[in-house]
Amino acid sequence: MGRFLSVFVALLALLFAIELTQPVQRFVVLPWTSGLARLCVWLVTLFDADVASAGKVLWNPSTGFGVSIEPGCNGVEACIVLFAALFAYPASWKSRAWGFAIGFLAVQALNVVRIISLFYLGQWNATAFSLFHEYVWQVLIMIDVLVVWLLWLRANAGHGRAGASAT
Amino acid sequence: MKANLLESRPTSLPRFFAETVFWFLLLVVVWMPISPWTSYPAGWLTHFALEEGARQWVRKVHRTPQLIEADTNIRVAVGGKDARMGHAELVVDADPSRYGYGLPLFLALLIAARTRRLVVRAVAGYVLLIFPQAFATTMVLLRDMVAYGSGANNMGVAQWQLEAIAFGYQIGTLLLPALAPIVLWLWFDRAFLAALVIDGWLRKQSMSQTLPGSPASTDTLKGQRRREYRSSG
Repeated sequence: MGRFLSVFVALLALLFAIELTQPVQRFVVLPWTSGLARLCVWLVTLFDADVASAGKVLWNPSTGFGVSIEPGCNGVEACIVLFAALFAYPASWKSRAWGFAIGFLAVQALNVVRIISLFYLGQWNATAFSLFHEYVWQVLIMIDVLVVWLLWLRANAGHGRAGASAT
Repeated sequence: MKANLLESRPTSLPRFFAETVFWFLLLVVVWMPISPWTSYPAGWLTHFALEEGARQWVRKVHRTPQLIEADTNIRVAVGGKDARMGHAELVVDADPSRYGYGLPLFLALLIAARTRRLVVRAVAGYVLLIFPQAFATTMVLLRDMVAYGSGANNMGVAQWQLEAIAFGYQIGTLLLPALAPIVLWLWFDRAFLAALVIDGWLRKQSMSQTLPGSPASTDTLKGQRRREYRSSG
């Protein structure tokens, strides 16, 4: 457990530092966030035509209400945590890669639900928006990461020194 | 092992997660009105960190349960592009409870996992979670000083120090409030992880033994799993 935590924290700090660099922000994070906004607009227009996106902002042209997808809301940080947790644990590279691919989809899928739900919550009630934006969704996304990691851990039981390391 | 984990632990991961979410939603509603007081120690720690660690910028720190406010000696321009532009000293504030939602999450995980010695671990967790909460609050205030202040040259800080503040701010506000309670719970309840790994291993054993030609005895596997759980705590 001690070794896992050391590698996990080191990986987390390294990946987070890389994520904050200008080139990664410019060529990866911002395009990703804009794509996410467009995906959310596409999904919302399936049942609500009154929505548009401008860059990383999802907004309602009728009411003028919009949500901007900022760092922490694009799922990138949660994926970094998942990556660090998977790669800090003793397992095969193939299994880690599969775990991350599936986990990435799980985190991003829930994140899309978060963005769309916040878009509607904000138009309905400011207090509910604050509660869900500041506390509830932050935790639900992190629980999603934990779900993926624990399911992966159970699926990989018996590989390498996994059992021994967990005790 | 003192208690049979098969009887006391949640029987499946989906149930464990459902219970975690349920308890978190319940506890966060209970926690919100009292969060200014549960966050008071984090505010005190932030106060101490600012007065000791950022003495060159901070003149005085005012603290209430809901707010921590720092009077700084950082001069900021007022009046915009007006020719008669004057200067004022920057005051920054933050709410420590904004970064304290790790406490209801930590308690929800303890309850959902049926962690033994729950009260002792809850109190220990509360004390330990004060540190990431104070770190987040301190970094928010430092970030505001740098962002609204006159920039690195005027404040006497190097570029790398600015980068460190930006890095600490991101880690402190985006990661630590939700991640710290999970890591702490995993550390406190290592038996849960061990049981999970053993469960996965036994599932694999069960699957391999039920292949054609090698019928598995369910009773034997259950007995084996029970023994493994007992030894894992």
